[in-house]
Amino acid sequence: MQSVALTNASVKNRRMLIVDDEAALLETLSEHFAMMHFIVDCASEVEEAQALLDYRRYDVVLSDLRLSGALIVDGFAIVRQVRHASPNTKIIVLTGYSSPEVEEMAAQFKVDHLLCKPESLLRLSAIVETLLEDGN
Amino acid sequence: MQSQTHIETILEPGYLDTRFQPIIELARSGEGFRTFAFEGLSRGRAGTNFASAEVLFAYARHKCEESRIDRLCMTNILHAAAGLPQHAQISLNVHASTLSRDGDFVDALAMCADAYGISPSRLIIEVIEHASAWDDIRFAHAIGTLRNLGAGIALDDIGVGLSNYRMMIETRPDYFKIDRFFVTGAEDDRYRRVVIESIASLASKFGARVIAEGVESESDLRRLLDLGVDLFQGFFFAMPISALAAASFPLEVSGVPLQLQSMNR
Repeated sequence: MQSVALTNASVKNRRMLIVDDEAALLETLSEHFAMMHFIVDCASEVEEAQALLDYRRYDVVLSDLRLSGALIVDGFAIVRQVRHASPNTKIIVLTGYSSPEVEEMAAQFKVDHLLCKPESLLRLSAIVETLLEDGN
Repeated sequence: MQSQTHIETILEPGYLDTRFQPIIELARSGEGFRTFAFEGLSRGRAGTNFASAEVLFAYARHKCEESRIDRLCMTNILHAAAGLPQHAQISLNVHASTLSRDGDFVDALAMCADAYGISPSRLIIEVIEHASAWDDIRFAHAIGTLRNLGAGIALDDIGVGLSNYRMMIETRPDYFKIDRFFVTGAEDDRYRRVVIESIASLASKFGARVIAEGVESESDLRRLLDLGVDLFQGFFFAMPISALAAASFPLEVSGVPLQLQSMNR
């Protein structure tokens, strides 16, 4: 992924939760969005993300769909929890296994953006910024 | 892909950090206080999500591993509490689901307390719950066994979550623990004060005492005293401290004006 450092007023001090079980990718994403002045929390398990979501509200949740062998349905458990507790949170789902079924579920849970891995940091940043600007 | 889940890491020896926060009893005259109890608190490693106890225990619940985590925390706390002053009570949190589903938990608690020379009568079990379904009969049996051992029962997080009237009936607590949500800002919020006063009145009718969490200022303390609270916990007195620091924490001070009693100064 290409690294960029953007600082848009719409993202400053926003809270972001990044969920992925690939440690290297999690670290890269975390550092990148922290450089954009997001306040970033990371989780590598579904239950860890759910625990964070029990107590914290996020402006953006960026989540992989398949975590540590979890079924895709389990990956959507995070999306479901976010949508239930915080309807205005922007949800971006990353998946390496896109299919009509996944797209259907993403639409059902009102995912704001479904992306196929790998995706460039530049494009990811642009999507996040656009979502937040649209939400203001 | 990670090789092990966080739950395995959390359960490794030495991962969890144990701290104690004093629970203070204040004389009605405001002219003295004593350390009534120390609440044992468990945290994950600094720099991880589990450094927050809320996230740590929420994670355990989502993993359906409350019992294993409760057992580990209980063992760590009793081990660390062995050196605390004998007259101070020791309180520790246990999920209601652990008491109802882990049939050996209370026996394990009693054996562990015995191993560290702690009388069960010094223990206060703070019952916490975040799930609605549990086995009423086994839960009642566990509470009864704890009482027979001489332990006190506290109901944690009164007024929030599922620490509701039903839980009061089922646990018949000796202590009602008021969540910090009601304490913080009570000075300027009549409705919070009304709730606190109502809980204190209810506790009195149960023959129970009231512990207020989140006491951060002298004005909080004075207000809570006026509302009928008589046990206090919060940064005004002390942050959570190590077992070593707790062992030398002042146990009793008399004749000290209220405004000089903050332990953090």
